[in-house]
Amino acid sequence: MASKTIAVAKNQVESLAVRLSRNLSRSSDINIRPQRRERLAQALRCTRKLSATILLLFSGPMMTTTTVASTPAIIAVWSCNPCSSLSDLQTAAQQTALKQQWSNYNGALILMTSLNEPISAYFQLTVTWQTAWGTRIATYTATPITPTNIAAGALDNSIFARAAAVPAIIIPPSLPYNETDELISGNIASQLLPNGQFGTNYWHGITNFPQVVWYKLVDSAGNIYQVYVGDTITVKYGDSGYSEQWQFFGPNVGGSIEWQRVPNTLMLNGKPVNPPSNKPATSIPNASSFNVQDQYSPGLIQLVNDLNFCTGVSSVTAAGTTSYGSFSYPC
Amino acid sequence: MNRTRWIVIVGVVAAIVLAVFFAVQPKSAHTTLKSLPAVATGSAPIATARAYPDRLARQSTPITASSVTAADWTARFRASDDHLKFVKDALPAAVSGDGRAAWYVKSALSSCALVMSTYHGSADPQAKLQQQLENMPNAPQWARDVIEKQTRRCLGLAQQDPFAGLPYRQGGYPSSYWYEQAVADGDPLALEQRAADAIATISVTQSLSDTEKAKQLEAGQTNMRAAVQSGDPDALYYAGSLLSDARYSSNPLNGIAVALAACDLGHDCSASNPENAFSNCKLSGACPADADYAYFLQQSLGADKYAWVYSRAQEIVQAGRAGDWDFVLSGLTFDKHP
Repeated sequence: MASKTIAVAKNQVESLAVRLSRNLSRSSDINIRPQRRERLAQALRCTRKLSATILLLFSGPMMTTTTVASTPAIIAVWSCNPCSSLSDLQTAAQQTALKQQWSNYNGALILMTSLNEPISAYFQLTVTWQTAWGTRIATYTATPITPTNIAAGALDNSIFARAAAVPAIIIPPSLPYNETDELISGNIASQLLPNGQFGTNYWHGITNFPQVVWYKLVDSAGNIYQVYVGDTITVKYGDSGYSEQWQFFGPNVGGSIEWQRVPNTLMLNGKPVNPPSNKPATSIPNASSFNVQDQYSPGLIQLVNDLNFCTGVSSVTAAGTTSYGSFSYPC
Repeated sequence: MNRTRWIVIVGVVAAIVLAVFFAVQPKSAHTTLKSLPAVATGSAPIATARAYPDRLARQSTPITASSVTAADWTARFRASDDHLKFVKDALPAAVSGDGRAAWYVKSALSSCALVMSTYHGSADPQAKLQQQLENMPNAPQWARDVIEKQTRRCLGLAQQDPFAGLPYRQGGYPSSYWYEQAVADGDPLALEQRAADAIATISVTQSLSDTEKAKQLEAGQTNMRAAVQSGDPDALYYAGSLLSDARYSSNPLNGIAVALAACDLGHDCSASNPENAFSNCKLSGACPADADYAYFLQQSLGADKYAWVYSRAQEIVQAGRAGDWDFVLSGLTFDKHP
């Protein structure tokens, strides 16, 4: 216990030092005078010593456990209804988080408004301490879906209620993966016809209203899907084993529904592949090393399953970077 | 005497300076942009009329002004139930430098590409079509009707080559050829599509560097600007639609307002226009048969946002009618990217 407390104190001191260093470096950015910089540096050194002393003297008795997480982050998916504003979402996030017995988790909490809407926002959840009085202190960072947040977009796109709900489109064998985009896009468009309904969706980007236009598409079995511009679907090329992601672009100039091939997503039997160099009729760049299907958090499956979700998302934070993945299971 | 001489000398010099000034004065930016096709792309340079080899043959023939207006070509294409006939009708104009005719030849080929590939060489296309429709028993009837209509209007192109009379060209005359012709001719719809292509490239290519993205956005902006400044209401509608995507614009409502304004400036925003995605409302019953663009905006934007969009659209309509395209373009900027 003592060693843990010391470790925590050390972390806090380091944190203070880092913050002061940042201030110092910020100061240097604005051409502060050398004398003042030296004084700031001295203040930094003194603060380090002072902080360490204070923490060692007083922090031990207050803290019983520490839950600073270094384990992979877990994302929980929760419904939020009714939610009509970012404030509602924040309140719901807090209430939801406090009901849980989270102790060792850092991660993102996703809030969805309904099974038919994209995620509304996700919240970075960081449980930091537990005090001697048993009050857990959790910090939240609301991260609405924004155009500049690619990770959020990926999360959003992974949630089942959207394009992920569209089953894989089977392209006839006469159109292999290296056929022209024009033909394959045309084939997809012939299998997913717009029924005429379209609109813009508030929830897709709470700070960027109205973020994205959606269309309702009908497949050959009569199923209706609400697909957003920018959503991706999986296309399978007959029974060749090849599959690829195609992105919905909506109507092009002239009104034809357009799908765009997503580079680096060609797979053979579920494994990323480089297209044979002697064959492609179209240019397909090298496969990416990022495979969202390979990253998942088994611990979340039960949680998600309670809500009858078919697809979930996970995030892994390591060395300051966060990678996101999705997982799916029969439901 | 000296004073008079000086006055004469100064007057002559001033006259010469003024004459030189007016002689070298460039045309206004507006005129220049309207008369020159703006062609800008990201990674791949686009052929211009001078650089495009196949244009040499076209330039050697006297260019005759097409008597069919851009609006006429649009109306003919939308009403066409036989794209082979349409292409044959539009071909002389397309070859002679009518960008809108070339654009719709391209559109006919693009929209028929799948049917041409599937039905080319078929001994009995009618039976094949019937088989195709029977293979989708669970599809709603309206969807089968749409597929049948789309297929029938393309069957002629699957059976006959409308470009057989043109000079041999390696690679033939695919849709991409006519697309390039339309761009080179400065057709506003083709330029707008070029802008959309740049945005699509950013959208699907995650590995693009910021520099490359900026390059694509600039290309999109240049082409979109030229399309809007043409005053073509159809191009204006698509420009507004493109800029309604908040991934690329910090003011997507303005893009929607521009698209709505295009409805008043001549674009057919009703469900009768088959180029509108909501035209299928008439067939599917999923939405009112007479629903138009404004109806869907009201449905999804809510009263307050729609009021803002409507008000802004009215300003844009007035500016458009006055030829004040700078005002129309003032909020149409690709100023961000994912």
